[in-house]
Amino acid sequence: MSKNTAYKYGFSTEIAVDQVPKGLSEDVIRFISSKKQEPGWLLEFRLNAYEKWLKMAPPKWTDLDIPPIDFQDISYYSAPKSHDESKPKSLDELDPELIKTFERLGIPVSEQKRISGIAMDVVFDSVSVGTINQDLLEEHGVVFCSITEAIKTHPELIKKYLGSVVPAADNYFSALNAAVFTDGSFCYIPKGVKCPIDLSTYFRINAQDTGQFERTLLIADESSFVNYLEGCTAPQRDENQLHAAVVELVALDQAEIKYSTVQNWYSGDPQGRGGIYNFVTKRGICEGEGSKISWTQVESGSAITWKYPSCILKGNNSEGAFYSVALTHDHMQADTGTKMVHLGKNTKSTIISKGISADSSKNSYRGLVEIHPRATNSRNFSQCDSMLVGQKSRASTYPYIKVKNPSSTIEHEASTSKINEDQLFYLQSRGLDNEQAISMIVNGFCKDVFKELPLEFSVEAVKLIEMKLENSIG
Amino acid sequence: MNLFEVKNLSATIDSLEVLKSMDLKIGPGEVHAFMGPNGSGKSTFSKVVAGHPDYEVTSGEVLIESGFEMKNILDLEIYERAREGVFLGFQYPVSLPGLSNFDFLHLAFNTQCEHQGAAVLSRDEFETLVLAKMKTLKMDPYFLKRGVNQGFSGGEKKRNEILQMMILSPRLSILDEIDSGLDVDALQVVAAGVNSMRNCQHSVLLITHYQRLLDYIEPDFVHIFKDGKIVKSGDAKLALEVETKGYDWVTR
Amino acid sequence: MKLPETLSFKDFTQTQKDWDLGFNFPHPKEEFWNFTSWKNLRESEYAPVQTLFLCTKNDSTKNTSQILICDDEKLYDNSFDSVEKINLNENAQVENALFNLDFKLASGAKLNQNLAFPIFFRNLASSSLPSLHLSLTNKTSRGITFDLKINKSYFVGHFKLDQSPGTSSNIHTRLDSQTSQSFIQTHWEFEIPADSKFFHSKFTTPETKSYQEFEFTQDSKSEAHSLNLSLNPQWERNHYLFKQKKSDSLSEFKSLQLANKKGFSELIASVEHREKKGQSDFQSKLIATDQAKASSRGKVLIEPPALETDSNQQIRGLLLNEKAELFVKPELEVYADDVKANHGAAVGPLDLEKMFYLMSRGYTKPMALKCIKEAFVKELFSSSHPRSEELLKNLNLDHIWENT
Repeated sequence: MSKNTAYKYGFSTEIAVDQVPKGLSEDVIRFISSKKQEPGWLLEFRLNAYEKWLKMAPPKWTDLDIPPIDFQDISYYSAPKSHDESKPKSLDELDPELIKTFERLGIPVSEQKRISGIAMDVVFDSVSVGTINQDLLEEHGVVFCSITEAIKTHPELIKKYLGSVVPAADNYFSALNAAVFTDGSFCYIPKGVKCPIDLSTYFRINAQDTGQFERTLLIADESSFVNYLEGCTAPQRDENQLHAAVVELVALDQAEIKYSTVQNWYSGDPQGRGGIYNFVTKRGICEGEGSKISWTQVESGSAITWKYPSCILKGNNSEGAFYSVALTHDHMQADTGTKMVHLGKNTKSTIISKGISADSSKNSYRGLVEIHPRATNSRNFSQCDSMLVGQKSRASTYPYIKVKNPSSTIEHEASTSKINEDQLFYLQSRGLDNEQAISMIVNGFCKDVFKELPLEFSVEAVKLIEMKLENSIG
Repeated sequence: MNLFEVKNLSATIDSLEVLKSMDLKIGPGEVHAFMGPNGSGKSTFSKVVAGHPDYEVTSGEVLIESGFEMKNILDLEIYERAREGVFLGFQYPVSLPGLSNFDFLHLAFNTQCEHQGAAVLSRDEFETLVLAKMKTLKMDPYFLKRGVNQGFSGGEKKRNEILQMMILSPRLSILDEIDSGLDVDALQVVAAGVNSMRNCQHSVLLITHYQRLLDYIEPDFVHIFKDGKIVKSGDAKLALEVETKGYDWVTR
Repeated sequence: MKLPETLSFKDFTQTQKDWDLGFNFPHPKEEFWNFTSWKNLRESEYAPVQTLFLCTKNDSTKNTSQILICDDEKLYDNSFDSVEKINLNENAQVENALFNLDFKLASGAKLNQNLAFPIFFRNLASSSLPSLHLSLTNKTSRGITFDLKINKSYFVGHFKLDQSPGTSSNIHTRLDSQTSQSFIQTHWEFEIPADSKFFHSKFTTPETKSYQEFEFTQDSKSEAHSLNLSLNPQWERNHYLFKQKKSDSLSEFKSLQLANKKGFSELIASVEHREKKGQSDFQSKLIATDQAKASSRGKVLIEPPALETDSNQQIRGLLLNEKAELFVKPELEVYADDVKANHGAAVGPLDLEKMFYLMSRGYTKPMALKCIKEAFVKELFSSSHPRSEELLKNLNLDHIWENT
C-alpha cells in the first residue's frame, strides 16, 4: 500500500439521527410514508410494490459474486434529527456538523461560498437536506427540488410519471426501491426552456447499517434542455451497504437530457471487506420525436456495481447515447452496460464503453441492442474496449444484439488488451515516468467518454481515475 | 462542341448546400485540374456527377456530348452515366472481399462492350487484355485473384482505379486525389497510364492538392475551388502560383 | 476470484434466465437435446433404427475414403466398394461388439491397422437413448467423407476421431434427412495431436432437423480448420467447441447459416485458450429471410496462462425480410493481460457504398446486388481449406437468393 491515495471520503459524520430500527415490513413502509407526510395514493404505490417484491427473487444471470443480502438487517430510514419534513428547508438552518461535512466533501452549502453556476440538491442518507440556487431556477420555471417536496407541490406530475419508465415490477431492486424509496431529486423543465445552469444532486451515505434507496425523476418538456450531474460518496466501513436507486428520465418532443454520473462510492479495502453494493436501475424514455437522452458515467467505486442505464427510443428520430468508463481494482466487481431499445423510426444509439480492470477485480460489459420490427432505418454503433492492468484481473464483454428490422444497421466492436508497450516506451523516451505514462495512456483510452462530461466533472474524473490507478501499477 | 458542361449546378447533402451554382466547360481531349482547400466541394462535385445517392441536386444541369447532342446526365441512373462514359476514380475506393478483381473487371468490361454494340470477350481473351494493361501499370498479376481492393495498400487501390479507367475507356475521367498515397515511382507509373489515354476522345479532370501530380500530367486548365464553386480559372501556371502563395491569395 | 471452468456444451444449452429469453428458442420436442429417455418419444412418430448399412469406397485419385451410414438400401448406390449390413436388435446388448472395417484399396490391397472403425450400439431397453457410437482411428493422411442418411427415425450418433501426430486429416460430414420427420442428433469428438492439421467441414441440406455438437481438443502446434454450411434447416442447432489444451495452436472456424420459411438456425461456436500463443479466428455469417430466426453466439475464453493469445471473432448478419429475426451474441472473457482479443458483430443491409462503386462501373442495380450478395457468401471460402472450392460449387447461390 502506499501514498495518500486512501479513499478520502471515508470519514463519517457524528450527528444525531432519526433512524428507524432495522427490518423491512409493511409497518416500516407506512412509517416512512407518514414521516414524509405522503398522500394515500403514494402509500398504495409503495405497498403494491412491496407485495410484488415479496414474490420475486434476486436475479442470478450475472457472474457477480454477491453474498446473500439480509434485507431484514438494514435500516430503511435515517435522517439528521435537525431535519424536519414539515418545515421548508433552509440551508442556513442545517446542523453545523452537516455543513462541515459538505465542506470537506467540497460542496459549498454556506451562503458565502455558494457557487452560482450550479444548482444542487444535497441528499444525506435518506433525505434531501437542501437545494442550492433553487430560486434562480424558479425564474425560468424550472422545478428542481427533492422528490418529497415535489410530491406536495407537483402531485400531478409525480402521479403521471413516477414508475412510468421503471415500473415497480421491472426487477427485484426496482420493486424494493418503489416500496422504500426515501428521497431523491425531482426536476421539471418547461417547454422551450434551456436550463440556464447545470443541475446536480450529491448523494452521501453516512449512517451505518442503512441502505440508500433514492429515486430521481427528471422530466424535460418539449424542446427543453438540461444538463444533470450526479455525484456520490460514502464513508469507509467494514460492512457492505446497499444502494438501490431508481432514476427515471422522460424526454418529450425535441427535448434533450444529458445525465452524467461520477460514482465514487467506497469500494471496500484492499482485502475486499466492506464497500457499497451499487444496484441501480436507470432508464430514460425518448418519448417524443427527435428527443435525445445521453448517459455518461464514470464508475470508479463500489464493491459491486450492477447497473445498465438504458434508453427506450420510442419517438421517431430520437437518439440515445451511453458513454462509460468503469474502473475496478482490488476486489471490486462491475457488471455494467446499457440497453438500447429501438422502437421508433430513424432512431440512433451510440455506445462507448471503456473498462479498466486492475488487481484482482472483475469488470464486465453487458449490453443489449434491440431493434423492433417498426424501427425502420435505425442505427447503432457500439465500441467496447477493455484494458487489463496486471495479471490477475479479468475483463468480459457480453453484447446481446436482437434485430427484427431489415433496414437497420448495427455495428459492434470490442477489443481487450493490456497497456500498449510501444506507447509506454514512446512516452517514457520523452521523459515521463511509468506512472505518468500510464496515466496518459489511460486518459487517451478514456477520452471519448471524458469529453462527454461537463468540464468540471471531466477534470475530476481524470484525477479520480489517475488516483485510483496509482496503487495498481506495479 | 464541348465534351462536358456543367451549368449552374447546386447540390445539398443533409440540407447543407455543398455546391453553389457551379459552372464548368471541358472540351474534348482536355486535361483540367481542380485545386482547393479541404471541404471546398471538389470531391463532392465528382460524386454528384457520378450520381451518389447521398446528394440532392437542387438546380442546374450536367451535360455530356452524346451522338452530337448535349445530354443531361442528371436524368440518368448511376450505371447509365457510367455507360455514357463518365468514370470516377474514387478518393477512398471501397473494398469488396469475396468478389474477385478479375470477375469484377471482366463483367464491367463486357457490359460496356454490349452497350456500345461491340463483341464481348471471353475470360481468356479478357485475361490477355487486362494483364497487358497491368504490366504497363506495373501491377502484380496476383491482384487479379484478390477480392476487389481487399488488403490493397492505398497506392495499390489507386492503381486499381487507373486500371479500371484503362479497361473501360471512358470519355470523361474524374480522378479524385489519384496521387495520394503514392511514392515517386508509383506516381510516375500512374501518370504515364493517364497520359497514355490522352486523346481527342477522352478528357480528364484531376482533383488534387499538390502541384507534384501536375508536373507529370500537365493540365490545360486549372480551376481553384472554394465554398462550393470555382473561384478562379487559369492555365497550368495558376497551379504554380497557388503552390507558392497558398489558397488565400486566390480569394483576396 | 473464481477461476473459469472449462466450457461445456451444457453452458449454452440450458435455458438461461437472462436477456436471451426473449428470443424464444423454439423446438418441436425440446427434451431431445437434453438426452432424456427413449420412453418420452411416441413410437408412432419415431421408429427405431433396425438396420444400418455401412458403405465404403476409396478414391485413390483423390486420396479420400467415403463412408456412408444409412438405414435403407435405397439410400446408397452401386458405386461403393463394400456394404456391410448391421442388425440392431432392439434388445441386443451389442455394446462390446466391434465391427472392424478395413478399407480396401481398388487394387485389393488392404490398409491394415491404419484405419479402424469400431462401432458400438447401445441397448434400447436401457434408459439411455438409442445411439450409435463410432470410433474412427485414422493414421493415414487420407481424407475421409462421412455421409449420414437416416430415413425415418430419431437418431443419435456419437463419433470419435483419433489421428496420429504430424498428420493432416480431412473430414467432411453431411446430414441429409430424406423426409422431414427425422431428427438427428450427433456428437463428435476430434482429438488433434501435436503438430498436426485437421480440416473439417459440415453441410446440412434444407429441411433438416438436427442438433450437432463438435468438440475439437487440440494439442500443441496443432491446427483445426472447420467450415460449416447450414442451408435452410427446419430446426438446427450447431455447437462447436474448440479446446486449445496446449500452446501454439490455431483454431479457425467459418460458418454460413441460411434460414428461410419458418426455420430456426442456431450456431454456438466457442474457443477456450488454455495455454500460450494460441490463435483463433472465427467468422460467422447469417442470412435470414421469410419468417426465419437465426442466431450466432459463442464465447472466447482466454484463461490466465494463455498469454500472447491472438483471437478474433466476427459475426455478420443480413436480414432480408421484415418478419425475420436475428440474434447475435459474441462473448469475450479474458483473464490474461498480454493478449490481443477482438470481436465484432454487424447486422445491417448490404453496403450501399459497394453498390455505388459497382454501378459507377456500369453494373445495373440487379447485377450489383447479385455480385455483392455472392461476395458476402464467397468471402468465407478461402483457399486455406481444401474443401472450400468443392463446397462452394455445390452451393447453388441463385437458389439462396430466390426469395429476395
